[in-house]
Amino acid sequence: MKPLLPSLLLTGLLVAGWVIGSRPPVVAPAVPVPSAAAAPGRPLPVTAGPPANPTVSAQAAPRATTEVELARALRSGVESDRNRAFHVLLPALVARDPAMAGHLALAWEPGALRDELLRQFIRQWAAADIGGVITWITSLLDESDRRNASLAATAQVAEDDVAGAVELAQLLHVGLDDGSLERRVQIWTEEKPGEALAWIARRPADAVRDRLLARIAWTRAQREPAEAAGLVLSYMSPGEARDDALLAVVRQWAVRDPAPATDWVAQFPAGALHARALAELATAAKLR
Amino acid sequence: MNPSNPPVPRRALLALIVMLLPLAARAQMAAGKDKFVGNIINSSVPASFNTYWNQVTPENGTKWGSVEATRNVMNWTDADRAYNHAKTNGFKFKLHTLVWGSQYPSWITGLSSTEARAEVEEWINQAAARYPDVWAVDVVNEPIQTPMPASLKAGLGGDGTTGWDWVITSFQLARAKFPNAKLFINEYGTETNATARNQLIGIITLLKERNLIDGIGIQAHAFNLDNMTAAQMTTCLDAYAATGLDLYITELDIRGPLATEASQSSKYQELFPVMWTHPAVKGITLWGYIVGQTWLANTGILNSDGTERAALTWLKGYVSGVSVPAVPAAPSGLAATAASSSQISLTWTDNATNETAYKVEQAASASGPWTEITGSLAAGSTSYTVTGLSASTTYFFRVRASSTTGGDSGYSAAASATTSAAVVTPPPSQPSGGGGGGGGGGAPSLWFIALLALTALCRLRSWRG
Repeated sequence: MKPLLPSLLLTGLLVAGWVIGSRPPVVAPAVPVPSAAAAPGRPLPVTAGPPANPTVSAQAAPRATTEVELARALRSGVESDRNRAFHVLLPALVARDPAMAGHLALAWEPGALRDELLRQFIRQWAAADIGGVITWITSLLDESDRRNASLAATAQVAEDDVAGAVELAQLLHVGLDDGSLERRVQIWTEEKPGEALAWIARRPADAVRDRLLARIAWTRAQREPAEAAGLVLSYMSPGEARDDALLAVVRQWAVRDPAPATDWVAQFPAGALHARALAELATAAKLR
Repeated sequence: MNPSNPPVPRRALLALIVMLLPLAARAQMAAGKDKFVGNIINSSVPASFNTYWNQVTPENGTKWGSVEATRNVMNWTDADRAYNHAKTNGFKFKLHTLVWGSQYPSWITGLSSTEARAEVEEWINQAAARYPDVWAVDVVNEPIQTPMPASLKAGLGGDGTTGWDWVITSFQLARAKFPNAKLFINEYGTETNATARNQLIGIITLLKERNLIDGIGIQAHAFNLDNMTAAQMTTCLDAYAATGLDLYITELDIRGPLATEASQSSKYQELFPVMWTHPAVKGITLWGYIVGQTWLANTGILNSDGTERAALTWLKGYVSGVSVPAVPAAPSGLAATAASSSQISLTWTDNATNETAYKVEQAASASGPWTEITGSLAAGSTSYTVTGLSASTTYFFRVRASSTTGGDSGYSAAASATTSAAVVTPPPSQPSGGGGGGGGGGAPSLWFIALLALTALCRLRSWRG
């Protein structure tokens, strides 16, 4: 039996080796091990925490400070202070308490700074809450303030919503007769003619639509006169405004491409409009 | 002499240097150049204005409708602010504008042509009286693109025999009242529209024949420039330069075709040098620069927190003569294809010429959050295989080029792919029969073979014994 002992031992080792070798490899667990800092029962590091009463200390105190700082910065006469007032302090106050910012603007002594404060306040508030702004503006008693605020609100809305700005201008009765509305629609047509055309086609017919349509047609006539002509004929009702719009298209078309413009004018019924259109063709010939 | 106390002249020199240091640090990008790079001022002067710009145009302050919103009541507040800032700092000041078919006083439309003529003359007289030494005046703004109120146009002579009598009259009035100022005509849309450009050149010829015009203003707004090429810009400038007049880029703003920071910077780098180096161009004015305070959205080049967008950093370096490495062009055409249940292959087009690496980012949704997964791939890479993914899962990817000197490009458009379902493979069959061999079908380890050999050796010895 003695010679068999090593063989038995070695066989045992073999079996043990077989078992160990056939175990699956150890892999990293799928779920990450929680870090020591987040381990339950371990105290978090001590940091400078919020004050005991954050409602009072974090809101009321800074608000008062902002108002005082804003007034001080506006009065300092230093350009950088004024800049900080309009671009840092006023936005902070408007975000926290727009009514207070409005009160501050209205309470300021009359003058250019008051007008500017009112404009800036309205623009910043309008960017966040146009509904609140409209309600506030309609409550203003002073005509000049209402106009100043309305123009600022309209300008702010126009930054990314021309159609909204036009509606707002009409609602607030500002910028209707100084070319501003037409200008907004003109640039919109330059940038996104499809949007502008679709919008004007949806608007109810009235004098304002005719003015804006005439400007869209003017702008489109620079590049697409046939389209502009169709726009005027399709959407403007007969009258002086339509005649003026048609003549503007005639001139621009004739400058760009006289033959089709002349053909088009030849289809006009005889009369005053036809005569004026012929005059436009003659003027256009000088401009080419 | 006390060595810690420098003599008076040295102390004075030191004081002078200390005083001048901040000025030097904030010198405008075009300071000392023979051309200016200016900007607009509206109702307040940005604190950073003098850091960058050395010419002033009021954004609205010197428009007729701003000054005389109420008939015969002149409000020069904003105009004075811009003018005083220019004068205080020695910057050129341009009055913008005397005659324009927009932002005119609303009351003008109710007047007869005779009354309108009297009012416009009064307006020009008052502007000249208040600012007699302005450097330049935009006499007529947008004669081609923006129609005039009928009464005002008629009051100034209407079309007349030339077709542009009202423009000529406007310049005659301006020349009489601003004898020392350069008189400009200013227009947009002629950058890409040759018909409009030829019309404007027709007007310019009429004015030039009468010695009424000194310069041409090319507005260069984003809606004309964003999709314009450098060659088109050269064509435009050459056409105007042929008139022999000085050219000014008067209202420059750029978003870039994609309206991203990288796209904006790239378009600036494409077009600005064409304008700046053209011999007829004598100055460039940007129409606003602070994000959120520009008339066209997304045209700002200085963030509201005071940090510069890539376009401004490049512009500053370019104009001041400091070489600024170009940002590499963004890759395009990214395509993602599932290669297996755990791999997705990506391919893209390399548009950059100066990149030093490519970086791939991965996300679980199109809106991110994005995680960079590659580290840096070699320059010129156009493909990558993402591994270790889960089966039947959609992944989103985007790629950008990177330069060690020029920074990162914009991202490619994102692409997505879904890995295929996992293939369920049967477990390996158990080894048949007895005997040795590795468990689970694996190869036996060396020590196992050694033990086997040792066992065999022992058995052999026992047989011999």
